Amino acid sequence: MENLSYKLIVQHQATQKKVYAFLCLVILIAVGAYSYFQWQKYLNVKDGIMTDDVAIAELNNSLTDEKNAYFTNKANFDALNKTIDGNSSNILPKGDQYTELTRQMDAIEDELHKVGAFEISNIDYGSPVFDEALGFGTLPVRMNIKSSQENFIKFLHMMETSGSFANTLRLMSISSIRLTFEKGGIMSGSKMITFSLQLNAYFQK
Amino acid sequence: MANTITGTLEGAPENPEENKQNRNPLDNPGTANKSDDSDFIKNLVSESGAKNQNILEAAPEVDQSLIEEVAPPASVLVVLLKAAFGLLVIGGIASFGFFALQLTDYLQVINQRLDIPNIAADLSAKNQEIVSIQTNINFYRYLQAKAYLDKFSYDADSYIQNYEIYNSLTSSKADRDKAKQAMADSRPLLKESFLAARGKLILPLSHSLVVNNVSDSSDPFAISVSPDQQFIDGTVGKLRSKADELANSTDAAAKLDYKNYLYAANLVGNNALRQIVAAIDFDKLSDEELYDAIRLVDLLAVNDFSIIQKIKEFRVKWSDIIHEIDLRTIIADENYTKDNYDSYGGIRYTSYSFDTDSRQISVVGETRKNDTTTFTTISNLIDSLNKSELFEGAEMRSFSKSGSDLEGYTSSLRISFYLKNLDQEVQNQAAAAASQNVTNEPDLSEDDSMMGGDLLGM
Repeated sequence: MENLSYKLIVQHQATQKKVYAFLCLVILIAVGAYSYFQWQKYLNVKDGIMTDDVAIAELNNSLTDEKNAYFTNKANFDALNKTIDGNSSNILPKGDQYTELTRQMDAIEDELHKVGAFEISNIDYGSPVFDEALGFGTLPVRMNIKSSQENFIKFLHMMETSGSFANTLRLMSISSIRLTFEKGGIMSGSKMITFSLQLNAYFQK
Repeated sequence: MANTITGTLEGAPENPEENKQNRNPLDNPGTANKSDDSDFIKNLVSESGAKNQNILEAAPEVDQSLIEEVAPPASVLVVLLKAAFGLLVIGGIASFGFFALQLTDYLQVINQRLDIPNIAADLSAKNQEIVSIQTNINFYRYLQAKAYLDKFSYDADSYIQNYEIYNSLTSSKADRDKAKQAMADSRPLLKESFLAARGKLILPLSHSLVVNNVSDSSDPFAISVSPDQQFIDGTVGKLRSKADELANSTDAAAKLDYKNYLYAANLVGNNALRQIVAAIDFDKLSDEELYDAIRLVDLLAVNDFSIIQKIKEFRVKWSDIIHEIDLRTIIADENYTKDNYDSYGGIRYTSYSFDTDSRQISVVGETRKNDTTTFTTISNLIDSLNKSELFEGAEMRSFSKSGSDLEGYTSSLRISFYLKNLDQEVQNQAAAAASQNVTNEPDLSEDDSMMGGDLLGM
């Protein structure tokens, strides 16, 4: 006759079968799914490495081409840079360079005076201001000029076209003009104009 | 077993007498009642004088303790299941370990100690190598683009000046013809440098990367920023670091290189400029369209030319304004020339006042007529000024007159008016072009305003 402990053991064995069977199933599914997805990822990464190897070879060729193109033309680029920098220094000089501007105004006066009345009676410079945000500075200039009407228009043209590499005249803009026409004139048919001009001359750091 | 009468267990008796005595009486039922038998029987039941003896000994008792020690046999299935469980656990750990070593950095120490390759790290390293090579490509490419754009802007400077001379209201015919010819001569040079710059700018900045798992934030090898931005940042960083190396140099060539690197960095990621440059069909541009394109490219490129261009954009051409005032005056006074006033009267200005900041213009003068209609002349002048495309807000609220029928009548005039805000429109268009993504062909405006024409409307 079986006793109680024997029965318990038999029952325990039955329970173990169920539990282990269940655990095996769960672990099999979990490990299987994990392994499957990770394997896919592994294969993707391996493919990616092969793709990257091809890309690296192509990019190295492109890099060689770009480097060659750059260094082949570098001398020309540097020469152009130097030219631009030199010309830029005339039209947008480093610092307010008011003495150079004064010389330019004298040269303009001399040029216009040859074809008619043009006289700069005075030039006053204000305090230069540099705007970091805009990247350039402004030098206020006030001038009083007596001129024929034709020369007045020519002078305006010069100011309006200043800052060109062609004429190397300093970049300027007119802030205000007050002009007065005089009756009669030095040359027949030509009025004399007296004008007070305020303009901004620009510079870089 | 003692006293085994039947001798079944201990062996048969060895002599006849004993045999006779031991003979089972049941073997001879006929003689069962015989006295021999009775003696035998007596002998069977009595022996050595002992009375009431059992044939068999007491039945053996079952020793329960033995049974208690006997366990049920081990279940083979349980053993198998345990083994399977163990194998699966080991397999799971092995699987995790393998993939952790290959695809993550959890076991980085083991990778390093045992020199086991990690392919995810290898992929990441190769991606970084691609980024590095592409960054170097971009570095040289954008230095070239910057140089070609500089050439374009430099050659375009004379084009712009000639265009403005050609379109100025106060230029002489000789100057206009000369300017027109210069514009035509400079076109081939402009085309060459423009196409060279575009060839570099429209090439892609980035390269496709095989990403391990961008969406998995726990992936240590995932790229944290968008791939395109990574290339842009890398290229800008390299250019700026090169510039920083030269920042404090006093050598003239080094200073030029410093600017080159900085301006090239400004071009990287400048999508507005790239799109404008890509959209322009150079051969189909008219003179005005080319003029607008040059201004827009200069504004967007963010370099010395853009600074110069910005200043020029907001310059007011006062010579043309004076000319426009004269034209408007002629409408009010058909005899208006500066030399006819003394003879025929009309309008004469004694002073002008122009102010760029407030955009205000004031004209002071007088009008003289032989009849009394000086106020009409002034009113006509005010209306004429207000009808101009350049002016607005012309007014004079107080009129006075003096004179006589003999000498004629004279009225002083003092009219203030304003420039229309065309500059703001130009500025807004430039800002809109810089911020919009251009997907269509540019809408090249044909408006030829005095301030230099309209920008490419996009």
